[in-house]
Amino acid sequence: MDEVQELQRLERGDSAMELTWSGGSTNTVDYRTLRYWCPCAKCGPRRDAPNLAELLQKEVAALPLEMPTVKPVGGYALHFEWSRGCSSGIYRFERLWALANALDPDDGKSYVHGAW
Amino acid sequence: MSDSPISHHEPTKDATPDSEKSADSDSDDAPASVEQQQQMEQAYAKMKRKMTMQEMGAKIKHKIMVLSGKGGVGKSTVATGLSLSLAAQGHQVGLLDIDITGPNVPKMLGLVGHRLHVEEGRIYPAIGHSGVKVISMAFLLEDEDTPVVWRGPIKLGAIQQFLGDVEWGELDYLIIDFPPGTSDEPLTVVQSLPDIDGMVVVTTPQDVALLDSRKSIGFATSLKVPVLGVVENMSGYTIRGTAEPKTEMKIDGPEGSSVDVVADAEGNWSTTMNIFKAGGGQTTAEEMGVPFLGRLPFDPGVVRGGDDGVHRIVADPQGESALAFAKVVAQLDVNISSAKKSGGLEII
Repeated sequence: MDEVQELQRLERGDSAMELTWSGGSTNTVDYRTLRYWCPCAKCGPRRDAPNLAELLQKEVAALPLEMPTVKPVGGYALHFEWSRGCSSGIYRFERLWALANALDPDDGKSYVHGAW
Repeated sequence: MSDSPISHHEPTKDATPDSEKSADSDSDDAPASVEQQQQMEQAYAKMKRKMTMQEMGAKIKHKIMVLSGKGGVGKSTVATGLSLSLAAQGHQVGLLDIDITGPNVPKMLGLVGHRLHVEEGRIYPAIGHSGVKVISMAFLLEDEDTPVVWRGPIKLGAIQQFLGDVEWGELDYLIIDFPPGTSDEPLTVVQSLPDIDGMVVVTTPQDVALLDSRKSIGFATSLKVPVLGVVENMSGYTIRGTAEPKTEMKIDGPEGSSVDVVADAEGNWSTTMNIFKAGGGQTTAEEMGVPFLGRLPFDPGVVRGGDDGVHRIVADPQGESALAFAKVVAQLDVNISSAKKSGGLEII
């Protein structure tokens, strides 16, 4: 992965958020993509099994589109709070960078509980 | 299961006998059950605690975490020493002992048996030497031998109470002492407390301790918390004596080593033995690209002070340990000022 830039601005829309980075680039991440790639201990392992991943995809697609509440977690991550569905994930900035740049945020690895 | 293990108020009980309760008690106007009330109170307390933690940034100028990868390197002694050294310089200091299962700080400050004062949902810290404000799980235990056998969520609830429910007042420094390792406790603090200035990593010079201290540095880097520096504790044991002036002597040290010393014109001599090796802390700091704060000597007076409840810095303010702590604190101040702060994220 290219060196991760510092996230400077996050602007929430109705169905996606716009991320502005320290290098000047701006990316859009839609909420369904964000929610599918939730790093929590329940969602993460589901992406490792094709049938469960497909089910996760369908569940996320069925959720209503809504603007999340976003809060920093320490200086290293963001938390997204939704009114329905999973809100457990703590998204490190590296993960958001990967999503913004259409990279695999799990880096091709299977989920390991507690992995960063 | 409660997320507020430290209870400082009694839940309101519904005293109305069942026979006198309204027949349509399932209606919207029915009073909340005891359980519902407890849940509401806990939810309110949780929300209030989060707000207070956010407000702490305004009242506490600097928040410093003290970690070690390995137990037994003197982390609590160093955290206590840093607090006392800062207080000796006139700063307002708080010391938060977050080692839930092995809280040692009160013992080192002569506060064993102290009970915390709680008023209107706020916990007031104990006051130790030099006016250092102290919070520790030890103050909540019935006696020193009582173990704390809590699962993770309960521990985390207690930590959040220590962060959000304590009336610290205005502080220049809050020093936070952790149990060894890089697990729930430091993670909870990093996630809950805004604007942490950084971490101090305590190690001893030998390889086994250094291996674990590197993990602590990696932990800090991973969570984007600045490493303010590595402190090498138990670094050298100085022995002193007198002899005929200009006498040359050979002093036998550990592992068959020996040191040549010469008494000065007054007949005084001293030499430092590296019982736990030497220099490993500085080498590790350089390899990991983090600052080195300094060395603290292996001082038996520190051991006695910890057991007696009078820290060496207080008992011997001009002694070798006190002076070494003062140097570490001076470097810490420099590193806090120069620690890189992020530009701030704008969320719209």
